[in-house]
Amino acid sequence: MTELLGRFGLTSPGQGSGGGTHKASVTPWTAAAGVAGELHTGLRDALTDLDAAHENLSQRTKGLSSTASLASIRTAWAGRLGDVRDECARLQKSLNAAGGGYGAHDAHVRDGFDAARGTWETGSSAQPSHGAAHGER
Amino acid sequence: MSIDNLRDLDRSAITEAAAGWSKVSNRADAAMRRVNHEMLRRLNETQQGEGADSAISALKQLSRNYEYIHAECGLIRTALDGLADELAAPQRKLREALDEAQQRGFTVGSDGSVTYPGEMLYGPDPGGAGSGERAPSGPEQGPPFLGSSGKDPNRAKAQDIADRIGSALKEAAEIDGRYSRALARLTTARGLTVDDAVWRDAAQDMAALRKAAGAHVKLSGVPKGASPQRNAAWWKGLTQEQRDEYTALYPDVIGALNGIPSDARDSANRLVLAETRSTLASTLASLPENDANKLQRKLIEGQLKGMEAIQNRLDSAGVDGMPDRYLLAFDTRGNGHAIVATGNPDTAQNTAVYIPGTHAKLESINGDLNRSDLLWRKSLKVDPNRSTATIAYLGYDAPQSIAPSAMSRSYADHGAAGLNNFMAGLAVAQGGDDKSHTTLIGHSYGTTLIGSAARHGHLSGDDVVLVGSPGVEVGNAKDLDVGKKHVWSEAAGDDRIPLLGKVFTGLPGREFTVDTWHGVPYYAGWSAEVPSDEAFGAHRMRVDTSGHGGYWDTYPNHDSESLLNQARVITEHYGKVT
Repeated sequence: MTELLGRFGLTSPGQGSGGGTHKASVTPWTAAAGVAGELHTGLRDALTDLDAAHENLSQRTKGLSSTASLASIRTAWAGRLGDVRDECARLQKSLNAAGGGYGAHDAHVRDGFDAARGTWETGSSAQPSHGAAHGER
Repeated sequence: MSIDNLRDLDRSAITEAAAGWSKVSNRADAAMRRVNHEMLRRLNETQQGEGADSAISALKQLSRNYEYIHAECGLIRTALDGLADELAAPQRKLREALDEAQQRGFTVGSDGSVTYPGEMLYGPDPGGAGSGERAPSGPEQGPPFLGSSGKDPNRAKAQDIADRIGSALKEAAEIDGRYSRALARLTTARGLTVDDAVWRDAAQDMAALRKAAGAHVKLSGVPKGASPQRNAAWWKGLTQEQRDEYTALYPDVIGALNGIPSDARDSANRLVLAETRSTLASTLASLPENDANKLQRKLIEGQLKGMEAIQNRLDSAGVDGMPDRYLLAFDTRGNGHAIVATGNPDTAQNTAVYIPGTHAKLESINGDLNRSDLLWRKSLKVDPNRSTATIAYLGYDAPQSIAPSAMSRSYADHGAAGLNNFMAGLAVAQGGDDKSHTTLIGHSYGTTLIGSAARHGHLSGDDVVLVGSPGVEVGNAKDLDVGKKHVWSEAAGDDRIPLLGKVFTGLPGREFTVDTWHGVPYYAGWSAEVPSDEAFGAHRMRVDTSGHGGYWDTYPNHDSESLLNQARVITEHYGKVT
């Protein structure tokens, strides 16, 4: 059973060769995950509010070229804010997995944080590959 | 923009949009703090291992993203507020002109031309009122009324209205164009990258918006060279929106205002730090590596090193139980300046300001930050029941050589007013002189700065600790503004600086006094007194460390008395001082 769990990275860190420096405890991870979840909601709401704030702007400011500039940067920002919102969701998942009941191995935890990050750091506009790390099939 | 467009423009639609961006910006600032305090700090405090490192790295990036959103969306908010604000005047002028035309029974064409009952058709006169008549284009409706001057008064009035309409439209078009360009700059890219290029662009966006929105957010509105009390009152009188706008556009000015709350200074200076780092990194990258550029490259590299040290310190709240840091000042002028607080100085019961001496500069600030943190930890150790904030003060240009520079009072004298202003500002932000027990700890030439500050103005503080002092411009402890009982000295037996200072430099003050050695007089007359001399009158604390730099030494099993005595003064545990 342990072996089976091990293949899915689901054995707890206490088993096997326990290193002296590993002090993983559940609470800070899940607390951080909770905050990530709230931040995700916050950005989701912010995007909705931003849409509401621009309602009927062009009708109410006909002829204003600033409105057109604003519309184009707003599209860009909606994308960027969405990317950060999605990152919060991803972090919530990873933080929960790291501190959750199964107690993932450090390497899996690291992979969970690193894999999708690699996509972002290149600054590409490609969508993140979800579920890349945890051995999902 | 047509006459109808400007007349019907709903400016509140623009301010509503601005409010939307303001919300995004403010939420992002709050979110950044949550990431730093509730996520990064907790993980720093308790976690180790690869998994934690990765998480911390991702969270730092998230924090930077929020910082970036806060800055840029704040600029968008300011641009929109400025646009709405500036359009008010031309819109009002247009509406007044149109109202007047209507009252007089004039007709305004869509091209801005104004006709009146009578015959002449007048368009807007580019050269001014009265001179540019157009040919009549309509059938005569009757003889014009001729006033005593032989001119139809309606004609002049129509011309005036046409001119006002034309100028309002022109003004509005200029404003619209200016803000449209400013807004177009404020775009962003997809993804999560917040690197040097991103911050450099943000810095340029800020500079551009300063110009574009200068009439809306006036730099002249910020108090200049005013007292900390005045600065605090000004800040208090602003709306939160106004504070955000000033911080977004002039973070370097706001961050340097003594007297305003520490978190406001911290927000502003963190933005300056991020943008300065990125801009300098780009400058460095663009400088070819050759002999001509060698000095400049070295200077920039040094500054970047110092900035990195500061950023790391700001990022490490929670590591080893350390509290939040506040960047109270930052700039790269002269040798580079920074003032970094460990713990919140506005609310701390004990405050200590550590002032380094010769050779101190931005490049090597890490050592000073280490000492400040050490004093924080030891103060907590001596008195766990009271809160402490320690501040590393690199707010002056320290001499960069012992000889000849540090032999001169000039560096101290130039920095004196700045230190006094800073200390006064601390007291104001704390809510009064009596709110926090404040100790200044000078090392080496840093003590000379303290002495100069006391001599040239009023040094705000409760206790003064003078470590390895070569002289403090006054010859007696009673002249240091805090009262003789509150002056403490440390000098190691093998620290040569005090003697060198006393004999070879102009730093010490002179007193007509009797010099004693263990109470036995050996000289009477004018002599230079340094704080470690008996005649100076300071409490001379026990030193069990060696040399000019050992006063903060800790040993594997115990802390030095040199260090602990400083902590005892900081925490008012005078009875424990050895």
